[in-house]
Amino acid sequence: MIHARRRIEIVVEAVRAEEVTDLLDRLGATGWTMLPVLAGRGRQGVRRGGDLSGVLDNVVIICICGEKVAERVMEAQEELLGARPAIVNITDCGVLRAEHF
Amino acid sequence: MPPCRGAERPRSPPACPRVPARAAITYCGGVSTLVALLPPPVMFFALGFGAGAVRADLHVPEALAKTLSLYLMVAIGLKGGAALAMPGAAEGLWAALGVGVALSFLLPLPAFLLLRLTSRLDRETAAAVSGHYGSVSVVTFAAASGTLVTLGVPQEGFMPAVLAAMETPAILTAILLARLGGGADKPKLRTGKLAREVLLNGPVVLLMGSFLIGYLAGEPGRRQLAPFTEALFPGALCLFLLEMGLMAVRQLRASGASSKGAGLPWALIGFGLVMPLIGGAAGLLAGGWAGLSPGGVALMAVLGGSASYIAVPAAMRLALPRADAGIYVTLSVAVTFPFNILVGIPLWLRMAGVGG
Repeated sequence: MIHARRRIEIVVEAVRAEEVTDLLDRLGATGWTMLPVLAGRGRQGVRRGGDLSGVLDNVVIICICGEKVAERVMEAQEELLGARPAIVNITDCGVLRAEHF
Repeated sequence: MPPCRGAERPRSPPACPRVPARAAITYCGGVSTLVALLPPPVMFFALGFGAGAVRADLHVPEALAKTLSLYLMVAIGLKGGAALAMPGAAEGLWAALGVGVALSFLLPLPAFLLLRLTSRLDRETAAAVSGHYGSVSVVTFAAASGTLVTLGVPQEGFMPAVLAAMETPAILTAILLARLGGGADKPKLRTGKLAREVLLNGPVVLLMGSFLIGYLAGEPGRRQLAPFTEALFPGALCLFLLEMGLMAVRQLRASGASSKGAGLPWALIGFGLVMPLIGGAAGLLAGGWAGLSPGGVALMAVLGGSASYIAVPAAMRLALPRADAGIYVTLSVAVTFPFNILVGIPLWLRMAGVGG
């Protein structure tokens, strides 16, 4: 049995990641996952992490949640965009264990 | 402490570099060997740069580069602390600290002015870049200090403390420059997080901590750790500079692939080459004024001319989030750092009257 959930994916600078995860926690997300980014290209050109200060490092934050939390995240978009994320996307997904999300 | 032949300077501080006797015989006295002109670490930097430029399949793992950077700070701190623990070694410490801090506070001003006059950088990015040039580069200092040891030129043992003290004042000047006369829509300054970043940033904590440990451990501690802090140092510096060469090319390439297509504008590259000369000249004068030995004056000039690429970028990212990180990291790592390694250090050594 697959249960429908929402999957929020946010690409943001590593130095600002805590602002995003704090927001997700506050909005009632049951959890999130953070992944390092090797490189990417967007409006501002190629960005490659790994400099010694770490300021060019990006991370991906993935949060699987129910409809209510996803709506709260969209309502709080001004605060979310304050952390200057590169990409925010929300998609539908399915999970095996409904009680976890 | 073995005597340093060829370094007969009457004002030699007790921090005479501890080169092994054989090395002292070979290198002291300004022997015009290839080693003196082009030390192995510099050749490794060139190797990294060349390998990167021709896209050779050569990579230094990121974790190793960060480890080496930590190692260099620990070694510099321990050596400096142990040298300061020698009797009489603190003479001139406060004057050197004072001029170092003053340089760090003041150097962002000419940098900011130069950027605003010659480039089209916005106020916030110009302020962020100028902060990097007031602060210092640990590895440039390490390379210069290593060259002095190779040449058998004494240097003040407390210079690592000056290095640590110069890391952060420039950050405050940069924030002021960005906020004075800026627009009304300033982003909220996360003061607590920023204060932690400025005062407790990794390089400063590690340098000062190692310095203190070196000081407390004194001569017995120095002898115990010498294989780690002294014998390994030149080799670790070589490996780290290899990575810095590779990194410089990576940064240049990433900035060349930016949306504007052209990479860094020439005006900015010019700034990255001229500003170290201004800062270095200021350091040379300040070091002389503070009464440092020729080796110390050379190091002060190197500090004045160097630009940060570890502590300041992290602080600027928090303090001035709208400033373009690609510009300040690339300028500092890929333009000014190579310039200082290849041109700056030999120039300041010569101007200070050392280095043959």
